[in-house]
Amino acid sequence: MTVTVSNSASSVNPDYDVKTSLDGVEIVQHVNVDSIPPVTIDSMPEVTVTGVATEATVSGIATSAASIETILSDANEAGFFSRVLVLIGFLVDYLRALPFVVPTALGHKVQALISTDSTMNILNTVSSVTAVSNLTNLNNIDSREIAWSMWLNGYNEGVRSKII
Amino acid sequence: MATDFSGIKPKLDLPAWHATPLIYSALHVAQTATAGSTLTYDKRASQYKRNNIYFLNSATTLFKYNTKQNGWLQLASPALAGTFGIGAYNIFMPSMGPRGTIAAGATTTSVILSTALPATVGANQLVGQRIRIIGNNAAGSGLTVVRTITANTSGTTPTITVDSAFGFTPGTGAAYEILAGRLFMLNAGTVAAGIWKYFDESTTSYSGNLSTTNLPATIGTGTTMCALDELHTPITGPSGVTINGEEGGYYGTLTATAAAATTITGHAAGGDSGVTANQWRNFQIRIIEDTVNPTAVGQRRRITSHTAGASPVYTVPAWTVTPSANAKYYIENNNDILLWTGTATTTYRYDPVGNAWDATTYAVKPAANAAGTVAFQAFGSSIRPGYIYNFRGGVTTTLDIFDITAATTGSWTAAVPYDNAGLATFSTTAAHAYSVLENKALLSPVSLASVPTNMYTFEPDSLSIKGYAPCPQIPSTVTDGDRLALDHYIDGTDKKTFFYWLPSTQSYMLRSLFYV
Repeated sequence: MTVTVSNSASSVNPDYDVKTSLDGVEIVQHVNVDSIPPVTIDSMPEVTVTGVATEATVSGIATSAASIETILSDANEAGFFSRVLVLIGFLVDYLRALPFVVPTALGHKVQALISTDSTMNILNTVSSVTAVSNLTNLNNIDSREIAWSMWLNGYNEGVRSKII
Repeated sequence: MATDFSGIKPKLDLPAWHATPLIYSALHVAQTATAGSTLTYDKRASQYKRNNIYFLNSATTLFKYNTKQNGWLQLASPALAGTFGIGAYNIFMPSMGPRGTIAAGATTTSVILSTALPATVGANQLVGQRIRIIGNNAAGSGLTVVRTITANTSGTTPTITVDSAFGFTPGTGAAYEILAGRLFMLNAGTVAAGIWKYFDESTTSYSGNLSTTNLPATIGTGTTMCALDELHTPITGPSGVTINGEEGGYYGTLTATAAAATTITGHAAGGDSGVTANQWRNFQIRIIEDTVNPTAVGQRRRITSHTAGASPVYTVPAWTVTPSANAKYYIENNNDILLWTGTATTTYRYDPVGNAWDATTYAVKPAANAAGTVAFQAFGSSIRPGYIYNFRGGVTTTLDIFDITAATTGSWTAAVPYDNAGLATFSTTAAHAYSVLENKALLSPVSLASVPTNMYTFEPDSLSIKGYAPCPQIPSTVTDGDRLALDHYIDGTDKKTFFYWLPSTQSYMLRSLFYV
């Protein structure tokens, strides 16, 4: 999995000494500026992370083994991978909450409520999170099943559960 | 096992849709609805109804979806003549199937067919189908029984074994009728041999080219059909008798009090004693038991007219064999298929047994239909089962009603006012499905690109339209065709309806449990 991380100075957490942010969710926020509730993940040093997850190299700060570990994985310090997980979690939440899959010439895209004005927006710029590439085929299960399984669950856990 | 639906609380529980599997061809190509494609289904609420939804997607592409097994099956090509597109239409007739006489050698639980089936069947291919045995041979039983087939030999004149004894041994020449149903398919375009065929469920074979005499030169847009099958019966008849969607017409078994060459007289009390004059005109009387005159049993006659009860006298075309005074009979639908097409106001009528069209049995419409027209008989109504509701289409809200009982050839009422007529106009993408269980229809008058599809319920008895949960699927473009269908969940007398909707540009149906 490859994750592209942008550098933004907009999310500054005064509780931390290091003010320069590493804000993974900015990727999503840039899809529709101010349309997604701000994601208040703690700021981290500005770094560049390359490589695959298990072989990540961190540069840009004076690193020690402990700080690298913090940057990468410390949940309390909003380590890099924690942010990625939050990012994916947000995406999944959007998909789950508003499961509208609409056809396009190239396949399907997700229509979701991402604005605060309650209008429906086409979240077709999910492509900026190309990292989640397997979301397109879910290990070779048709991606439409994402929405359908939720509809079916809604039926099974809803009215069907009241029929005996 | 009963099914308890009492836990469902309308309003607390809101209707919704969910998807069914993708439609793939036998060659694993996803199928998207094409213009003119239709969904067709068995309208009965009977325990014996077929659990199939048929999807005709081209002149050569026919699928059926099994509502129990949740899967699609592509059938052999129907090879219809014509030009597939808006105007093509299907209709399912559940009582139709191979008919004929039986040979010598029957037992109390088996018969050997004499009249050959239209195609060879394999051993036990007919298992589960229903067969009607009519003891109308000379010196026969004079009884009609319906049984479920449990075994059959192979061939075109198989030995057929049933699940329980007939109660008599059918004699040579007794009649059989396999009640497996037939899907009648009409393609659009220039009328030619092969534009009108059926798919026979019992033998899973297609007919040859059915008659097209008396059809117009072209099957155009604005086509819709209505099946008046004798097995289209209500849950509760007008007298309060429970039919539950099974065989039995509108009153269950009735016993005559007199009969003559062109008449039969009904109950003095109970039964059909409460009918009003001509309440059942153009329905049929079918003799189901006559032990005095066995050769009279099985006869069907359209009711020309009748007096009011008590002891209503039904006038019919002359009987071939006059029933005895106490023969038993059903009052039921007459097995006609009605067609309206193109810019013609003609009501075309097809006799599926006689394989003949005519344009004279029924009255012409007050105005022609247009693309987007839909029509259905509210055969589940305890008030007006003889009404056919016809939304005219053509981007209008106009509703015409055809009362087949109101005159010899029926009578149309044009542009009937109805509740909430509003702005729900019927365009080329209109679709409908009528459910006898609730005596309501689900309507989808129009589909538009890039928005969910609005759905409405229509209540025939109160002439009222109400909003229903819209289908969330958003088509990128719209494709013409009547692609709403339904199936009933049936557990004894506990029944519920599922509506099915195949949206434009999609490769799957959505399903909605109907409980409001």
